[in-house]
Amino acid sequence: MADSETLILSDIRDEAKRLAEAAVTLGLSARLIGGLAIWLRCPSVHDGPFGRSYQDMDFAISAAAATKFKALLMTQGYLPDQFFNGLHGATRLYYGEPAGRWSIDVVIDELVMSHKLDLRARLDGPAPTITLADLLLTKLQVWEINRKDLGDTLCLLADHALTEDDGEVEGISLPRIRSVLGKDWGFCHTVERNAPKVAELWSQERLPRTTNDVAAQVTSLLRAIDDAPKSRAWRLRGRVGERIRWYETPEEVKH
Amino acid sequence: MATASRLFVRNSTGLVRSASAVDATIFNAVISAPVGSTIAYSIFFALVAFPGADVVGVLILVAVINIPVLIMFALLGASMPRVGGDYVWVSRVLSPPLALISNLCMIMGGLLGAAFFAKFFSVLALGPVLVAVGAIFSNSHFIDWGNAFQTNNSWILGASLFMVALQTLILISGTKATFRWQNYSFIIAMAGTLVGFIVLLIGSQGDFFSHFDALNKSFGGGTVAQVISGAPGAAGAAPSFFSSATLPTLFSIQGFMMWNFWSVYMSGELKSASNRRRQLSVMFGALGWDTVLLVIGVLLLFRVAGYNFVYALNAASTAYKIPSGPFYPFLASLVFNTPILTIIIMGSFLFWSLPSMIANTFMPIRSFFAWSFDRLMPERLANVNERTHSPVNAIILTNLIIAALVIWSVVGNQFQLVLGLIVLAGALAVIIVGLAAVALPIRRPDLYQASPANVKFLGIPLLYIVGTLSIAEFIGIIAISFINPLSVMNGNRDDFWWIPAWLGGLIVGGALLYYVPRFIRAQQGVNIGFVYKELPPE
Repeated sequence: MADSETLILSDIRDEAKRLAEAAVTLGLSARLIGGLAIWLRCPSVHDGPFGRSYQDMDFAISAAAATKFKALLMTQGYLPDQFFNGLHGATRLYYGEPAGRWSIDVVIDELVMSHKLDLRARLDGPAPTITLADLLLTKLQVWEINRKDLGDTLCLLADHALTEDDGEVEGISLPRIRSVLGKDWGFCHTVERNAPKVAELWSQERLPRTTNDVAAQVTSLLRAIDDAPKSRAWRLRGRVGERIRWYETPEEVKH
Repeated sequence: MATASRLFVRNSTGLVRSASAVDATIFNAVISAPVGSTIAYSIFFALVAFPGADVVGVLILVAVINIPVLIMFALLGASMPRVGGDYVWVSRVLSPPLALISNLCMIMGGLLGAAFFAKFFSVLALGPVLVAVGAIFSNSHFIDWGNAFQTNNSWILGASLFMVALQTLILISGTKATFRWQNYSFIIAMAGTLVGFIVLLIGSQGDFFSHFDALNKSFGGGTVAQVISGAPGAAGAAPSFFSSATLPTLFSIQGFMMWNFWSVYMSGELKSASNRRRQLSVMFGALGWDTVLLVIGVLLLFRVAGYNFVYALNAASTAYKIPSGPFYPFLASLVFNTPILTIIIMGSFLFWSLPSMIANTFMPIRSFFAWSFDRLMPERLANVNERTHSPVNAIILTNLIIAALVIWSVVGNQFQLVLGLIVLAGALAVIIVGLAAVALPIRRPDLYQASPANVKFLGIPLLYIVGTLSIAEFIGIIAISFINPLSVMNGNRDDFWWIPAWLGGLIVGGALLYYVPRFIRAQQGVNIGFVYKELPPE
């Protein structure tokens, strides 16, 4: 149900779906990422042990789509953080819901957090979210991973099978995962550290009805990563190992 | 749950800022004492200006006295990593008018510094390089062009304003592109300077003197011995740390060594800016880099050329006839006198100007940006370009001011004098920041307690110690300028009145920058005093 004075829906989940679908309809290279993208694609997260509340929504957009996407948010009534957008607008944007109920974080072209995930040319798919493989990578790249991230990842692996077909919308593309992690040792290392935590969580809190065995999915994922061809830069960095920090620590910004 | 102990708490989508520690360290290193340009022009003049100056000893002393200043800035920068730096700290801890005074002081330093390095490119880099290359390769065209870039106002203006236009385009193209230009220029310039150091390290004094004698004779000059005897006082010159030359030399060297805190003005864009160790590392990294390399560079030149000969060159010996000034890269090139080394050492020297200009200019742009968000300036000054996401209006305004200063520096005769006053502006700003540092634990205990600045030494808040030391140090610096006005006044004691006038002008100007907009905004029904009750957004 929409609020009386704005177009914005009262539930952040419905609102995220509405905005993401609007972006697809308008032909914008803009897709939902983050927890609400998982919510949109994974029924397992709707209730049960990993159901949760959402404080913000995240979008990934291309630089070329930035002007139109900003216009979309503005016409819906969202308020830009002018200082933040002025300073960081080349890579990030921030908008607030007028009543302060939630915020919208927008990453441009690439997600830069603990690791860098290049999303250019991957924001035009049929779904209102980024692809499932990219969603998985956005979750497993988090060095300071928390229970919400692990729960989201678990539900993603529970609801969607790994696949060798990069074009399969409802599958998690292994070619994409191999392509990203085979070039970046640090990213790969963090994923290899985080993935077993998902399996560990699965062993403690199983979902009642799932399509896939998460532990088996994690094993397959790790094997696929292990088998992936590695670039020379990957191998050189791998020799240095953990002696040099391999991840960034994102800061929480006060808006 | 077993996994809980290894998990983290995160309340919002995090941000990895765009500028790295390397960007920030280079940013400090190219504004404070860019090794190549400092060693070429800013050190050896002291040998003659203040006879008996022990340049190496004073460089080390200056590095030591900057330690408390950098700790103070690092603690404040980590506590309030905001665009605007001292403007934000002082306005939120002490008072907005004082913040505008300190910020205006820093801005003047940045604007005048940028104008200086724009002119530097023509007069002290391109011109001398062309003359030196022309002299070494016997090419009269190069010598003529080089002389024109040093003496002809039209040529100087053309080259200087070209640099201003170039950096305007770079700054408009965005933060990432700006740091790429800064870093690559620095790397090229530094590489050439290090080649010069290696040449001086492995070359022999005999070869250097032999090449110098041959070249100087070809222009009608004398031998090394004749150059020394042709400069009054050169033969008997000897450095002494415990002499009357030390204080004015300290003032001069501090003038370009004191700015290693400049990265606080990019805190809004610096990765982990609220990390105390990060702030300390980028400031002390730059201070250490500059100090160590300057000391090594000076010692290497003295090793090959000798103290007395370097003194004589800077004393304008009558026996020195080479059309190029005796600047460091030129002397280093003479050690082996081979084309490839000459091109590397001299060509790379051209790259010192741009990164220093960028670092100087970055700060006023960010301050104008912060001011306009606090409504001290029209909001459109903070407008960002849709494509590059850079504050184009603020960038253009800043560079127009720099261009005007460049024109003044070329056609007027007081620019060098004002340049000498930059250090006084910086001193006044550091004193005000020092007051804010001391006041922070008392006036904003809420902010202080939770901040990275909440560090004690022997039970005393470290901010009290470093703030007090910084205030005392810079009161001392101002005192030196009153005791030795020649060190500031470009050699003319009649211009002494500039010192109090300059300081007074900055105080009045800063106050007006607050009270005039406040009055105008009050007429519009806006009380801008409210914005200073809270920290601005990140």
